[in-house]
Amino acid sequence: MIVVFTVTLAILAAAALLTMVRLLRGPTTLDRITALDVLVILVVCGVAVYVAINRDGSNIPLVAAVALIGFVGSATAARLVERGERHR
Amino acid sequence: MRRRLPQLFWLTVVWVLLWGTLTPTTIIGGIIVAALVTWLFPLPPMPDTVPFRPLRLLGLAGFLAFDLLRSAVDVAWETVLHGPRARAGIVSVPLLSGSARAVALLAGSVALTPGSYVLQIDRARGTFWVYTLGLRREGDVERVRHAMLVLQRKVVAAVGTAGELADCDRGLAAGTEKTP
Amino acid sequence: MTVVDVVTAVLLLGGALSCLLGALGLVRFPDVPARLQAATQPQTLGMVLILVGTAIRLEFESAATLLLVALFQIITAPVISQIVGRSAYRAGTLRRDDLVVDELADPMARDDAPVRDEPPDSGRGR
Repeated sequence: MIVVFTVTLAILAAAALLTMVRLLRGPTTLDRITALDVLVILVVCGVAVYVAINRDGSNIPLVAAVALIGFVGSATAARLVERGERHR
Repeated sequence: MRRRLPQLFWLTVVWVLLWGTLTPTTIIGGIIVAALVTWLFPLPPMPDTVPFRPLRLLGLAGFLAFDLLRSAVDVAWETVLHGPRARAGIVSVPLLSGSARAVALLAGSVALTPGSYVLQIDRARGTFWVYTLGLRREGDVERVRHAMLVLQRKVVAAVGTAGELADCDRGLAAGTEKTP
Repeated sequence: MTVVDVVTAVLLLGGALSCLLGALGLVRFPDVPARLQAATQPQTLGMVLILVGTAIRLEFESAATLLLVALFQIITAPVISQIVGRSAYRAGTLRRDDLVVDELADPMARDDAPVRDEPPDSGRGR
C-alpha cells in the first residue's frame, strides 16, 4: 500500500510543479487565479492522502477549511478582476 | 417562516457533519448558525413549488457523473494530442425553460463537465451560449447543441414543474430551427 | 491487500492522474478559457476521487466530513469556472483565431454593454 501512496504523492507533486509554472508565467491575472485555485485543490488532495496513510481523521478539519477558504479566495479575486475591467 | 424550516434543518445537518460528532452542543450550535445564515442571507422567494423527484434527480446525478468521466477523458486526450493547437468554439443553444431553478442547475451542470461552460444566458431571447473545447470535425457543433438539449431535458425533468416540462418537450419537438 | 485497499489504490491513482492531466492542460493550452477548462474540472474530478478513496478507509464520522468536502467542491467549482470564464471572454483573452465558431460574437456586439455590474441574468449562472 505504501507504494500506492508514494506514487500518488509523487504524481500530485508533479502536478503542483506544472501548476507553479503557469502561476509564475501568467501572463494574465486570470491565469494566476486559475493556477492558485488548482494549487489549493492539490494541497487538499495531498492532505487527504496523508489522512489515508495514517487512517487518522484529526487532519480532516484542515481539509475542509483549506477547501472552503480556497473557494472564497478564488471567487473574490475573480470578482475583483471582473470589476476592474470596467474601469480600464 | 415555514419556508425557512427545511433550510434550518439542512444547514444544521451540514454543521453536525462538519464537526463529525452528534452531541447537544453541535446540534444547538448548528441551529444557531443556521438561523443566523438564513436571517442574514435569505434566499429569494420561489414562486412555484416543485414536486420532489428523487429518482429523476438521482438519474441526473448518475448521468452527470458518467458525463464527467467521459469528458475528462476527452479533455485529457485533447491536452496530450493537441495542446497548444487546441481548438474551441462558442455554440448557441436554445433555452427551453425560463425557470430560474432549471437555468441555474443547467449552468452548474455544464460548468462541472470538463471542456465546457456556459458563457452567457439570455433568458429574454431564449438562448444560451456554451464554450466547448475540442471542436474539430464538421458535425461537432451540432453534436454539442444536441447534447445540451438532451441535458436540458433531463434538468427540467428533475427540477421543473409539469408545465415547464411540457414547454420543454414542445421546444424539443420544434427542433433546433429556433437557433438564432 | 484487502478489497478496501484495492479500491483506495484505484481511486487515489486515478484521482492523482486526473489532477496531473489537468495541470498539464493548464501549461499546454493556448488561452485562458481553454486552460480554465483543462485545469479546474479534471482537478475537481481528481479531488473527489481522492477524497472518496480516503473516506472508505476511515470510520463513519470522518468519512462523512470528507464526503461533505467533496460535495462542497462539486457545488463551488462551477462558480469559479463561471466567473473566470466570463471575465476571460470579456477581457478579450480568448484567442479568436483559435475558435472554430463564435456564435456569441454578434449578440454581444449588439448589446455593446458586455460588462455591467449586475446583468439581468446574473445570479443564475454563477
